[in-house]
Amino acid sequence: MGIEVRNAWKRLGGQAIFEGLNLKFPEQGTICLFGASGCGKSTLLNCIAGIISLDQGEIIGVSGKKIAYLFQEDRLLPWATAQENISIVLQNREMEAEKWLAYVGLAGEGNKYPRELSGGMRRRVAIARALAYGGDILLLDEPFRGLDEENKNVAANLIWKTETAPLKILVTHDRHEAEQFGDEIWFLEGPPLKKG
Amino acid sequence: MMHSIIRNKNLIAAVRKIIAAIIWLGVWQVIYLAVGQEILVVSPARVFQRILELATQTEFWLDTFNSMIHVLEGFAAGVVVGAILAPFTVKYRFLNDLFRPLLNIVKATPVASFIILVLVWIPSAYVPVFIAFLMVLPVVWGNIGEGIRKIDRNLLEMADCYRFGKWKTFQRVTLPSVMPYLVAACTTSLGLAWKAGIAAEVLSHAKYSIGGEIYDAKIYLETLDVFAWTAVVILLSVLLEKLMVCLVRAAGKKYNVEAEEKWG
Repeated sequence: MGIEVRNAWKRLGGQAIFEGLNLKFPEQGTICLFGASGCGKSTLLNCIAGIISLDQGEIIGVSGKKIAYLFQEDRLLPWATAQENISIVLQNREMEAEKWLAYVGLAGEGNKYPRELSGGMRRRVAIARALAYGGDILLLDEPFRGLDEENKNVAANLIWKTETAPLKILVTHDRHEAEQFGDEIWFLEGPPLKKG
Repeated sequence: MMHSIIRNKNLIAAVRKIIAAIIWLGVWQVIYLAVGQEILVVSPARVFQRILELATQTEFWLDTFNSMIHVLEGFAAGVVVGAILAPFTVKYRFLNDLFRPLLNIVKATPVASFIILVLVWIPSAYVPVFIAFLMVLPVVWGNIGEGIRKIDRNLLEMADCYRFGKWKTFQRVTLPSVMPYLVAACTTSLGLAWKAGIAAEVLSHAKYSIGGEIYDAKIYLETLDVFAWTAVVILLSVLLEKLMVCLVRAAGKKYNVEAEEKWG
């Protein structure tokens, strides 16, 4: 069963983000949520991830599912090395973390702290963390933001070649990205968020 | 090559410090000669000699040990209570509003006033401990509170999303975020606690303590002993500070506390 957003209501900072929003995601594939910045796409991902709760309504099909999240920002622990940042989601299985680092082309960089890595390398550590965590759903919130074309291709290749998370939800406001990666593109507008 | 450059830099810094110390000892000696009365100013050599004499007596070590215990007890209590209260006052605005004036009063009140008041309230033996506690509490409380407020919300969301759980989130996100604030509070407040604790010993005439010895020396106009015990206080203060730096380094290995430059 896929996930379903049913009659969702959410206000943030006095603004209505969702007003009776209904969406039904399939069990697998990459669903691309395409829309302008600030229309509420990231809030929707945060609700699916369980980071913020709905004022009203429900999200069906997420309970008991493992959800990995590649945030807009890298969100790496600055006091942990690249390897520790990955092993932390692997119940501290360091060898496996090393494997994931090698997978994203960062073998031998495991002892470096995030500030010692370039922007592209930090992004790859964040990708490795999300992929290592695995699970049923992978949420991707503008995953290529701030990356040059070369790093973007590397990152995209890593995300879509990995056999993990049958359902991927990609948020973007870049039409080219949406067409390139989405199996389905949902045009969204708002706030309040609705399917266009 | 790199090691030799660092070694040379350390050597130069040490030499600079020694030269500065020699200059100030020289100034002290000149003042002593200019005043010419031992009851007002004693020479550095006499003070040094007196410290050596004192160090051969059992009482000296007993006094020093007791004073250290007074200050460290107060310090530890201040750290523990501050660390317990800070999260609550951050979480509950009412508690923050309730305790804020109290903290401001503690910060603004002269230590001497507190010592005299506390002498009325509790047995004099506990006054140095309590005063050290009072000096440490607002600093630790305020700093930890600030550290908690500054925790990166994005990292907490990440921890939530990747199901760290409460303990792991505390260990891997909260603690490393707050540690630099706690360490800064500890290093600042230890010096405060030490000075205020000794002052409390002086005013409460605490038995078998450095402050008590300073009080006795003052009563009997033994200026040499006042200087000697004051020098001991300064030496112990430096020692405690060094000890704190060692502890911070040890904690740093686990929580990267020292590493503002490494990750900050």
